[in-house]
Amino acid sequence: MVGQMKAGDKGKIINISHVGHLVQRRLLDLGITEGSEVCVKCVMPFGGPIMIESCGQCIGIRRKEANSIEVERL
Amino acid sequence: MEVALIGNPNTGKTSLFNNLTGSYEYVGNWSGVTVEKKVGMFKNNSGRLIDLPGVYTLNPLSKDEGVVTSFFLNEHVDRLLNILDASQLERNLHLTIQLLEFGKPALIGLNMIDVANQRGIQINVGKLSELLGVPVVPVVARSGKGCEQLENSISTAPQLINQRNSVYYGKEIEEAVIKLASKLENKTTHSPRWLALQLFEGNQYIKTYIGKLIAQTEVEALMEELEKKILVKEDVKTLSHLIYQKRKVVIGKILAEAVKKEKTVIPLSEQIDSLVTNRFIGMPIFLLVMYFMFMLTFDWLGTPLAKGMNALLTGPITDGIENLLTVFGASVFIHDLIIHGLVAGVGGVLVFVPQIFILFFFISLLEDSGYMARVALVMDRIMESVGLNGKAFIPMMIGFGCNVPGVMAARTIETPRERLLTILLTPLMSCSARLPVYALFVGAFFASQKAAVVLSLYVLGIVVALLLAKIFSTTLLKSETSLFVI
Repeated sequence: MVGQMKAGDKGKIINISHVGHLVQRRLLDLGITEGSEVCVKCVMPFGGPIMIESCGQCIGIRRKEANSIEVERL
Repeated sequence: MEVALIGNPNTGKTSLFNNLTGSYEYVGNWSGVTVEKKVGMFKNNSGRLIDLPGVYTLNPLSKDEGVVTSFFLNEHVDRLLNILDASQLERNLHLTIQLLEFGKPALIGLNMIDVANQRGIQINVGKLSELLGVPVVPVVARSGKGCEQLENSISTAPQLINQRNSVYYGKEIEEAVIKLASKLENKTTHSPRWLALQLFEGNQYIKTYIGKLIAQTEVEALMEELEKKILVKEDVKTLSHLIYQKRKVVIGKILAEAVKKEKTVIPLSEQIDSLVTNRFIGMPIFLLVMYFMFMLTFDWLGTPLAKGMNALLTGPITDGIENLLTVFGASVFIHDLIIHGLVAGVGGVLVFVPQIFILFFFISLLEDSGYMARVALVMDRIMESVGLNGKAFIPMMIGFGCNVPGVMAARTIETPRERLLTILLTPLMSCSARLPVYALFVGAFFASQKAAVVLSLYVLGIVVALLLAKIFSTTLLKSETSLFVI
């Protein structure tokens, strides 16, 4: 899960289908889907959002969503 | 000639628009700055340029993005000017492919070449143009470099319609496209292939449009049949995913031929980024920035300026007008009207102009530097706890300058519930027009603690807004999931 990764960890997304429909669409628009590599840039305190980097762009997603994206650690 | 300007958010569309049309317009960094359709004349009067909101795809998620789809469906356009961010080509080309499918002559402005070069990305413009089958002109929208060339290409480029289908979506989809196209024949002026592909992607606007031309049941039957075939044959979850992947493959091929990547260095902006979004000091930095803004506006810079303005108005200007009136021999009534009515009345407002100016300056500075988007990320946890979204923070921040653009900025929030809440609560932010009133109170009652008292008035507004947000989101406006991706 992306939510369990720490800042600086890298991973490859293997399953994104548990995320809500809207978020999934938006992530797809930004080029994030199964198979894309992500790097966690920073994690906000108190269960706040997570900033991930993928293909040169930084994206903020909520912890809840991050917890339902399955990743494979690289 | 009508030319539509379209591209991803934050690719410099508005800057390019200003450079091409010569009219001044507001430039910002937050997606959805261009909320209204804006039209301008080209500098050489060759046609009109229509500025559209930034979108990632023609299949809209929010109302803001829907503007683009409805525009394509319902309005006349001769040419498309697609602006691409050279440093994010892969993502940007998804939209380009959809635009090429639309079938109108297109032209590509390749923006931020300098940024791409800094990141070690080298783009072969000629090759890219050849592969896409449309002219590509490199520009730097910020400085206006290449804009003249772009303008010339728009007015001189031949009315060539790119007939080549740049993406082959596989046998099943192509067959369904032809089937639907034969049904749509002579019923629409749009490219049937584009309509069909958008429909298969799940675009609701297109579905409604097609539903008016042919029977809804027919369309649904066709889509169901196609979906069934696809799910059996291909390893994908939905039809839209398959279309996306087919496009991605083609884009990958284009990029492999036209783009060279070298080793990258971390730019300074990313280092600043990691500081302001730091998990521990992100929020304190934000509060510090706000404190500085208010101190500058009300104490360090604003008060001396306001005093100077006041002295100028009550001193030389009043005296001057008084002398002038005596020379003309104005009646007592006119004299009182001008001195005690006009000068004192308008002057009472003018005194606050320096303070309002400083506040507006800082708010737009923060917005244009992209700090607002980082603030949205930092603030999302707090906003989420009251049932709002980090993005709601931006409209509220703008609300400090003026409530009207603040409410307008709420359009970028995707879910209707959060949008409504944000719109309801933004007026609680103390806008700059309320500043004179505050300043008057503070000057009269709390002369020794000016900045602190005004700041607390502002904070009070925020606290009430957050409380109301919590109450509204737990009572009136329940349900609906929230979306936060920035």
